[in-house]
Amino acid sequence: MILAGLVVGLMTIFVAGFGVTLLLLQTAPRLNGFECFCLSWLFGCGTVSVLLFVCGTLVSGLTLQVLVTVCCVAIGFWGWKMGQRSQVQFVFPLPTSPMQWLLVGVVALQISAIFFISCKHTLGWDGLINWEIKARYAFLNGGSVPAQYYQSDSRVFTHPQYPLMIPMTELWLYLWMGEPNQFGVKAIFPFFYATGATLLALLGGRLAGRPWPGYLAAVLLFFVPFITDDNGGVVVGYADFPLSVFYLVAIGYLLLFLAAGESRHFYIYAASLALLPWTKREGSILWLVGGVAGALVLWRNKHSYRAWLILALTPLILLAWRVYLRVLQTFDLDDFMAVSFGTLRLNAGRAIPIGRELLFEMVRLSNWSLFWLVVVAAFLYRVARRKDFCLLILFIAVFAPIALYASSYFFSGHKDYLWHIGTSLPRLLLQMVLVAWLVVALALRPPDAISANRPQ
Amino acid sequence: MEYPGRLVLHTVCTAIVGCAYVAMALPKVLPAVKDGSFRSLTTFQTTDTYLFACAEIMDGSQLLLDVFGSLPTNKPIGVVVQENNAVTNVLGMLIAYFGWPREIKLIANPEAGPSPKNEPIDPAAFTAIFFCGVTPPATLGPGIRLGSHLMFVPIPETAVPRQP
Repeated sequence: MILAGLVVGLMTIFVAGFGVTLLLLQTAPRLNGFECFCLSWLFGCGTVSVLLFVCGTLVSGLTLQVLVTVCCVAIGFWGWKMGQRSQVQFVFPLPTSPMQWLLVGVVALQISAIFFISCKHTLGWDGLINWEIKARYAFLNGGSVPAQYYQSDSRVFTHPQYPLMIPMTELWLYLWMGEPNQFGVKAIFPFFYATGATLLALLGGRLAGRPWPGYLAAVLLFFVPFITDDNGGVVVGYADFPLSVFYLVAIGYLLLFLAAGESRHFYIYAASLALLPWTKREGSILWLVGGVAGALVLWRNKHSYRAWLILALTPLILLAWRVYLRVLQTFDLDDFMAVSFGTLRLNAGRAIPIGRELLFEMVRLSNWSLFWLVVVAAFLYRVARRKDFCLLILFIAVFAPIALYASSYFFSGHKDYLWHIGTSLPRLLLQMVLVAWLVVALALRPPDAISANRPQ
Repeated sequence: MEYPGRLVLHTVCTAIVGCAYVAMALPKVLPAVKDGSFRSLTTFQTTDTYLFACAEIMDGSQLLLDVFGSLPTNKPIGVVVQENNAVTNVLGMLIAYFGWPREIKLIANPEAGPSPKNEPIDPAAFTAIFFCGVTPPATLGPGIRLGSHLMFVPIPETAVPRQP
């Protein structure tokens, strides 16, 4: 019964996401089925979590579950009808050479391995105390996180102000399973890995002009040691990898939009950008960086006011969440001091230790192997071969968040700010890993393909 | 092909860097796949594991839920933990996790024993007090041991004198 509930819960997420994906991509004559499947998961999580949050303020219990299910099915049906009206055709492009088949086979094995490892692991501490706890309390409260939880300082250590994408998705599975099942709920996270690896393969291949650099990047992704680490990787229920996948989609589709100018890519970019701050609090910083990158692309290509309007609407979820927290007068832990010039000047002496810690972390083999060195080498190699606007956007997308995250430690409220850096920096870096693999995929493009700058 | 020499160099460099990257990663990635075993695939898989690791309690989640089920809800629960002791802090937070919807007051004790330095605990303010790695004061009466680092003292509804 629990397993059946879990399957139905997951399917409703896919149905809702499929509808949203088709609504966003309906102008395309042919759609890649694998791509639609991955986007369906991401937008499904976004849709279900927002629906549960909004509807949970109005109704509870079985009524809430039925209402959200009806909405999910209705969105799926609406997307399907719009797709039919636009005569969208689904294609499932298969690898075209033995080498490509081999790479795809390895990616499939790796995805299975992540499901396997996830079954063996428990939720990590933050996965339990920062995320799952909200889903559990919402389940016990009939489907919404109780206002008492936000307003009491009893459980301030669980960070009540953290956004609800992951907890509400977990809650959705709890509602279908009929109990807050800590084993079943872990199913969410390997799906994020599967979508992240597949979209990396697709986006990397399109941006590189041929499929195999994308496939190779997806294969190598698995070998970033921190991905399977039990202190913040995919398998322990933290929000950093899901955030990384949304960021990949935002930046990847922005680059496709830059190259091809097709509005459907911009819609996917904007939808992913809007969901970043709903996934994790640091998503606000990624939203800012992704938004600046989007504005640069719009400004450079002189796009219409409609695209600017869509970009301007992306902070709506973030603003609504901030207003909600303000209205509830929420307690939260202050990990950081107020940002001011005075504090910055006071803590200016931290500059060298922060830089040193960042550098040490990026070359820490046990967490990253040679990953960040490979990324830097790929940038330099790609710049030497060809400088283009796409590379500038990627440079901003990878290194601006790292610089902003590192700068935030000037305002760390912890007495031992080096401890704060040590415990949080690896997870922050994980958020840029998928986008950084796009740089590697671009650099993998062989010299003879250098003129093929339009995605296939 | 325009630049066969560059293509060969590109391929060789890519292969070398890729192999080095994978070789460096394998010692960390392989154990993640191989090590560990399937723990109990139960509702409380995670919390049971933590409670066993911290206090050697079997089926600790259900035990805590049963304990909370037996307590009145009109007053908060006190949870005394050892200051700067990660294990007892984890235990305290797990108790808070299961204590919902009761108010929880976490009290940090500087030592493992009842310390003269810490703020006196007013038992009348709580329905029960959990002691994580801390010995309950004798004035509260005998506690109930739930695990190796976990004791719990239910406070009767009758007025309890404030401990000195």
